[in-house]
Amino acid sequence: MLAHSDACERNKEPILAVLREAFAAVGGVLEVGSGTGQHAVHFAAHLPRLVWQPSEVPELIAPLEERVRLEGGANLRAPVALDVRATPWACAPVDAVFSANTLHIMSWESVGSFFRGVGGVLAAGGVLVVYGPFNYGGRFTSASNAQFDAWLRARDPVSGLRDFAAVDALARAQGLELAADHAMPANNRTLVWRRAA
Amino acid sequence: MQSVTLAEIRAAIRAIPDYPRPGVVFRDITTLVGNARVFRAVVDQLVEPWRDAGVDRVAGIEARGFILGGAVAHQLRAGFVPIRKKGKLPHPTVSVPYSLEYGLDEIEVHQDAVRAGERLVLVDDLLATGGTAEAAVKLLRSLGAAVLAACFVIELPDLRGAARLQALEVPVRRLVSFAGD
Repeated sequence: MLAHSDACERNKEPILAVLREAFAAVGGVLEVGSGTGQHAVHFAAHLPRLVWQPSEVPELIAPLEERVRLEGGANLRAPVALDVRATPWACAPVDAVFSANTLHIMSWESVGSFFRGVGGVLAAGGVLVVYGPFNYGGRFTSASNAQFDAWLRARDPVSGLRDFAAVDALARAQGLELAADHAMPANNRTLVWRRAA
Repeated sequence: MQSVTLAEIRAAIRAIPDYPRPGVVFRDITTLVGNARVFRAVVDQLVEPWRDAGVDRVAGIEARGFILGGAVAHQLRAGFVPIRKKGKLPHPTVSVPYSLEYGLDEIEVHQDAVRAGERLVLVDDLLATGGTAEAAVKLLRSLGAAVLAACFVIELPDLRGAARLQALEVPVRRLVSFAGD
């Protein structure tokens, strides 16, 4: 049986609505941390003009490969192994990068690596879309987010919800400008940056 | 695939100040195509999302689009379609007008160069106002082609050419940009 995430099923339609706009004229998308592949399959199927490249760390790639093999269409590529800590990322320039529910799983140091990696592969005019829960002004935006953060840190002390301003500062250092910050269901956000130059 | 970074591609493009007139910086790709390693990588990277997309033909816009387009067509195992300024092609053509700074010009393609339903990518070295590329997309579509993407090595974002192509719902790929040009 394929790996499954209930959260992915709940959030995939609201995220798709943002991607339709943000990726309207995008050619190739690199997804970082594709997980179960549910997002990749759904977004590739509903955005047929673009080519979706899923990726995952080597130790978690097998179930992703299985889903893409069974459910993927012509514009969904076989997953590639990608660890955000690699420098530079070993892939061709991409027109967009998408990542969902990853920045609070990886360490803060790896979040820095993520943005450096994106900065190295995102082509001119490129778009970065990141989905997940974020703190604003150093505060949780809901009690459920605070509980989720406590659960994450108990499981892995280097994980935890990130502050929007700190993340945006990493993006700006790579020449990315915030284009939109969408409120999403269940106290999540979808952040959209565009390459300024 | 050969790999070079975006910074290396950018560094391989020569800036020629005050050419062809004072105050204009000309972005010269002869240094890029003269560098075997960077040229090869750029040819691959320019159309990388569509490498397995069943591209039938690559269309290149005169003149530097021919340098890139021929090499891209070879890499994709596709045919090549030259899009030229009016009066250069010997066989019957179809043409589309496009606006210049002053007045109109036309680009043409042989009427039998593309068959209805074929999948094409459009290639040129530089995206400026997008006027020529927009005309090229209309030209290829008038022959029934599906234009999968328009791909450029360089974008001059201040001239907003990408928006014109996006309005035609064509994915636009550009590797490096020079703001302020």
